[in-house]
Amino acid sequence: MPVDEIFDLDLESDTDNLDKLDRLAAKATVSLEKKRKALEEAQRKLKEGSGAFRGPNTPSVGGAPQDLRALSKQDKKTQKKLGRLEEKIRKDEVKQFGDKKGFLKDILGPKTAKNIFNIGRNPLGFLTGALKSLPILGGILAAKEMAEFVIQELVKLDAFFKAFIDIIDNRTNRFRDLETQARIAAGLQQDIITTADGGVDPRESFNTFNIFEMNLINENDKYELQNTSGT
Amino acid sequence: MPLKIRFETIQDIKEFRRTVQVLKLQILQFQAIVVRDIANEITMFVIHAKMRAAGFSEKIIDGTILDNIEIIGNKKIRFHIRSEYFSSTGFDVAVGREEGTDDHFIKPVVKEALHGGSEWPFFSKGHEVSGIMALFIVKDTVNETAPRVQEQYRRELLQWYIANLGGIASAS
Repeated sequence: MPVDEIFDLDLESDTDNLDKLDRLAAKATVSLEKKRKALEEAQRKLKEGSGAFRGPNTPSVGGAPQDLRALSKQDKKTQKKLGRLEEKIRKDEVKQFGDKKGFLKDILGPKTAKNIFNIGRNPLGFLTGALKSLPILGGILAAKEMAEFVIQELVKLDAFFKAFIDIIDNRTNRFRDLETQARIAAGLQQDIITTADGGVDPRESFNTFNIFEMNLINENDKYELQNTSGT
Repeated sequence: MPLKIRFETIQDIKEFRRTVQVLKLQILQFQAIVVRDIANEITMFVIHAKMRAAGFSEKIIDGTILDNIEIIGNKKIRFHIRSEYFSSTGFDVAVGREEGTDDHFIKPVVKEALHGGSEWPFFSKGHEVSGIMALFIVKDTVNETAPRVQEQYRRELLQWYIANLGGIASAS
């Protein structure tokens, strides 16, 4: 037997280690991606504002709150006024149906009533929700009158809503939805509104004007205006 | 000295994961090559040097090699260091030098008589010789150098990781 000495070396690192590292890195990636998305979302919301002040309708002047603190104060005011409104409605209800608490809960559903605070942030959504909910009243109350009453009260609430209504009134095209307006503002979409016949292609529009002008020149050439007042 | 990896962006982690997949394919090859080199540079070099210092025959030195490398599981490598040189009578002289010999009788096998050369200018039909001392050069050197081999391997592995992981890895 020859001399045969052995000694062992610890490899310390192998494919299992690398697999483990890979799994840890995958976990870290998922976690960081989530955090990044949350951060981006928060930044987007902060940049856009919220509620009625969101999107292209946000007035550049006029004191529309762009930060969450100012909006929060507004929300509190709105919440107080809504509380008073609810109380008023409840009293009216009591007159007719006795004292039943949670009137708004009944007509709007518990979730909407609970999140009534959101009216300050999303009045349009709230109004839509309220209008959808009100017909549930059916035979209990006259839904139409009730809806009008609620809307009237809401409109009275504050300059906050007035601004919102004004924005609606001042829209260039009231039939464009918010998404379309945003796309137009971003330059992604072009809408041409014309009474002229033909397509909406910009070249066609230009030609329409050109034809109109040429026609006018031709008419002026053919039929010169004559001053007949002196004759 | 631990390996330190610094991620600054998610892209760094994604890049790291891609690199890890490549390293997984390369690490076995790297280990197989680097451990043999290290064992040759450290253990075998010292064994050969000690043998020369002790007056071993070059034939024995040439017959002392790093033989097989066994991979045991995923975490361990076993080195086999072999030393052998057989005389014409079949006696393993390398083992004799490593483990020593007792006093023993020698006699001529091929020729009619033995001759001791200039140092011992006599002829002999056979005589008793004293044994040689056990030096255990291979055994002792392997035990001595094993921690150094391990340390050197650790250093090489670290450097390999740093080189392959790009700028995100460093030794701290």
